[in-house]
Amino acid sequence: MSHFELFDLPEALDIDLAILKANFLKLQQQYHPDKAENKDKALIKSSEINQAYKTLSNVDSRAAYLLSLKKQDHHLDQSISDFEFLQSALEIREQLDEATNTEQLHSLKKEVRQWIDGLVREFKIDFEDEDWAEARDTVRKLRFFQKVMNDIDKAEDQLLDDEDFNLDDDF
Amino acid sequence: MALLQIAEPGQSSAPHEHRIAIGIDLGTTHSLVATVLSGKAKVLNDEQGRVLLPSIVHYSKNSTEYGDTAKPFITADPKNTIVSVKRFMGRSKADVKFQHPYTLVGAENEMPAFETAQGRKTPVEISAEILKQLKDRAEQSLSNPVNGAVITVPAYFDEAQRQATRDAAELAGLNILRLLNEPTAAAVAYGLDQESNLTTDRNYVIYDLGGGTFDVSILRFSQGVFEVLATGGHTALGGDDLDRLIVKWAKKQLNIEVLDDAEYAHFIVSARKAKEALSDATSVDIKVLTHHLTLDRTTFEEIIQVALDKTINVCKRVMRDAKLELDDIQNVVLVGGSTRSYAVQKVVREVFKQEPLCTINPDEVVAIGAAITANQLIGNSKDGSLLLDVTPLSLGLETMGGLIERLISRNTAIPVARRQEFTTYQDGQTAMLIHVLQGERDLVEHCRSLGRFVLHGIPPMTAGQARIEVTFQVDADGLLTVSAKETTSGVNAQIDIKPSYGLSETDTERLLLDGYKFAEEDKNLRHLNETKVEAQRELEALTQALKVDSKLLSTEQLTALTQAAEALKTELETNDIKLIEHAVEQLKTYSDAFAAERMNQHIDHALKGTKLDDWSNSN
Repeated sequence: MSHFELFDLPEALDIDLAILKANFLKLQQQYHPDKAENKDKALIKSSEINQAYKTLSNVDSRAAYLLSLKKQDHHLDQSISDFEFLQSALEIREQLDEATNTEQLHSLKKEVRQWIDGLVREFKIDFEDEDWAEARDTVRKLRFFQKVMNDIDKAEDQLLDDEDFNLDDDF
Repeated sequence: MALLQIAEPGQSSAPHEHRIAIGIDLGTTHSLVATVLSGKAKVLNDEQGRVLLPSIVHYSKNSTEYGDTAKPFITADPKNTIVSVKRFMGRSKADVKFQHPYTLVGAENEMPAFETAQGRKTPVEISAEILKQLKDRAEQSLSNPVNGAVITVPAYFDEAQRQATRDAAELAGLNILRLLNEPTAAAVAYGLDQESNLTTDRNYVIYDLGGGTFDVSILRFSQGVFEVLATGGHTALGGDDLDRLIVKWAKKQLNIEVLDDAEYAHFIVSARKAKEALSDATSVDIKVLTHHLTLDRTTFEEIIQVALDKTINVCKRVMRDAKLELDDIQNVVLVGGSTRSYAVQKVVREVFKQEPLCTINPDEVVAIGAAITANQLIGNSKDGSLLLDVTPLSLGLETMGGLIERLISRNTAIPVARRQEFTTYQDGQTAMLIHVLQGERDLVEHCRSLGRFVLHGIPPMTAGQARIEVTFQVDADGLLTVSAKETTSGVNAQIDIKPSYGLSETDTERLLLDGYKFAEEDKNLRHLNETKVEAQRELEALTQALKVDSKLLSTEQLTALTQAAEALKTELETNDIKLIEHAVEQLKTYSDAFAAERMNQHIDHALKGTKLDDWSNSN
């Protein structure tokens, strides 16, 4: 059974995350070791459900999983060869390193969000056209931006901490 | 560790024997026990009618005192009177950086023991003594043996701290049903998990100001699920600080420079009384020793503002972490004795722009929630909930070059299993070290080692041929089991990972932050390490090839090749990526020629005596 079938979802990149979560919880209520009679079996089943949920929750891992269902997910760990993309990627990384205020981070976030949206559209076309090499490349790029997104969030926290938060001052 | 809680739609429970389940709040300053009787949760008191058991144990040569009885020994015999043992739980000796009067023994990276009049006592043993007191109290008061217990822990407790708590419960002879996060317990006590409307998300703030610690958590109740969105706090901020601030003010008013210990104790007691009295009066008279003062609400609020500001900052931070606005918060729950103060309630009301929930005694609310959960888990009530934990930090393996391959990323719901294939690095390698680590950084030295074991008996094969399947399994209680198996031969090895000492909160935080802060540095280091590993692999392959085929080379060729190899070996010591890459490049010119020679030789060899069909079928 595929992860999509498990959560009663269509096999597609666009899924309803609310349905995913609701069905995930429904399944856990049934299969979690705290609830089930056969604890060993429940451990395996519950683990599978958690792993499947994690995979479908993020757009990059969901895209990679779609490729794996088509047996087209090899060499996803290879580096990206698109030179132009690498250059933009490098620029965004630099901007992140140099960002000194939340406005800069916000606009960077918006930019990255646009990149991700574009890549999602691209993946859907690649996938439709069964252009697997392109699709793989798109997944690599998606992974890159997903990571940048997480790093922006962390940078934001760091920045806000520096601005107004110092726990260790004594009174 | 974040916690998800799933509430199941209410069902009538089949009639069956009522089993005794208790909830224990094992606190830093005091502990207590509660149970559900006739469908109602209530705290249990001791023979003197006391509910709160101060978390204090005193060891004298021939006897052990607990709680209120142990209290006088804090000043009379500080070294043998253990207070706030919770702060030592799941920590290594090196982790204990705060001040304390005790003599700790043991290795730096191990759980320390307190040197007492009764010999060495570990934090786990001391906590077990406290738990045992509460268990005995419950059994006496209920006239029945306890069948199971839920013990609460702070939401930020890591796996080692949770494991230490679990070990203490076992030592106390308790059948532990589950460890429950304190804020979740408070929410359960107020029945916030019984909301029937599942269409909208609800967010709750749990503001917990105890005697010496402050914690704030944001829980989301969504689709019948409790989820800890964010937590924050301060390990040295509580009601005691408010008392100290009042004393500081009093000293200033009275022009007193120093107070001796006895005088200070008097001042603290008077300050606490004044603080409590101000919740009902607008102004109080303070009489301490020969002095006399008046404290009104306005002054009191000014005095303690500095402490309350800190709690507000923490609140703002967790709101930000949770990515929520004030409008998103449906309820604020007050926990901890210090939230009884009108001044604290006022601040919370102002910050969150709503009336906080404080109808349940804030000292008892966590134990009550634990008792309700225990009652459900043991099967007395079917409208129960399911608790889904997540991993607080990523789990992975050491690979070549001191790098970490992450198998389970943080915030993954448990139980979870991940399998990944690895291979051997050298020809004829018969053993493989499996080193399990926890943390967000790329390099082994920056993460916490959880354990290591060796997979022996791998049949000798060419490097890269063996298939070693490593499986990480985290069960519903958070216990990690790692197993490794060579799949072509079926050889396997397994280990249960039980952290024997813990990550401190600051360590957890550091590991998390470092993972992001040093991403760039790690990338460079990773590149360097990968290049080095690759170069070493090349050199190894070259050595093997030369053993077999050096005769294919002329003396000059051989000399040039070995010189280039030696040069690379030297540069590998430098950690200079440019020099190494250059040496690799140099070596490549010679080794490529050698490889081509070998290839030709082998093809010739393979073709000899075989038919073309055989050859084209082979691969």
